Amino acid sequence: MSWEIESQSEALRKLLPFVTPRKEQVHITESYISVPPALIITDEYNQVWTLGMSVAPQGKSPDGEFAFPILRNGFEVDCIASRLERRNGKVRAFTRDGWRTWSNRFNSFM
Amino acid sequence: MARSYAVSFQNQTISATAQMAQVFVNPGTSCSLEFLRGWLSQAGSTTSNMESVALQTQVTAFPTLTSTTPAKLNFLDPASQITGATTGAAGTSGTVGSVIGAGTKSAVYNDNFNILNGWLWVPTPMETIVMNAGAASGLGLYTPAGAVSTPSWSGGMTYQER
Repeated sequence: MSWEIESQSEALRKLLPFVTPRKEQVHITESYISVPPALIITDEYNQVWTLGMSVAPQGKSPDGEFAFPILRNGFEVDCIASRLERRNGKVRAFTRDGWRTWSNRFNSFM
Repeated sequence: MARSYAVSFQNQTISATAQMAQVFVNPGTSCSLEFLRGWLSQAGSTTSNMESVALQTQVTAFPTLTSTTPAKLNFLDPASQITGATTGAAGTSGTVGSVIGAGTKSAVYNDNFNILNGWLWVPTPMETIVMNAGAASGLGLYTPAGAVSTPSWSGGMTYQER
């Protein structure tokens, strides 16, 4: 007997194909584009950034806004934010603690 | 906890006709629907272009669509009260409209976006749109000016049953 277990994140990537990178780099998002209202941010490493589907609890959300886990190429990166923005070649996230900037070196929002 | 579902389509060629519904969900009589998210994007063009988008209600005659069954966002939930259908009738959902439908449309939310970046609508808690059970109209995601580039579009809406 073979077991095929599909994780919720795999199912999410099937449901929302835009969360994963295209095969080749076709576009780098300009500065000052933010999610929302844009759907995705694509950086120079062809990483696709967007907001996930599950709503964060109120204690982890910026006041007055829905917040969601940040997805990078369809995987959560352990940060909850209501907005993403690309500025000066960096991806920033608006979290309950204010703006945090993605560090490729540390592989997390700082 | 309310149950959440997504009605979406991926990698479809959409109609260039103005006022076409790309996603349409019509509440049935059993529960109201609270709309939490809408999105639209394309992968067919690498040329920067602006596109209009709108959340609109439409009464009968409804648009003709491709039947799309709502997907569960929590896999433990039962199937949605909404079922897939091509007619846009009460209690059904569909995507990628092919016929506009003569019913009057009323805009709730109008916006524009660059097709390279896609469009995401995430209302604040006070801005969510609720369609009551037994409503005469459905809510849809429309391209009011027609698509500037038609291939390889994805889009959808999520809602909670209340």
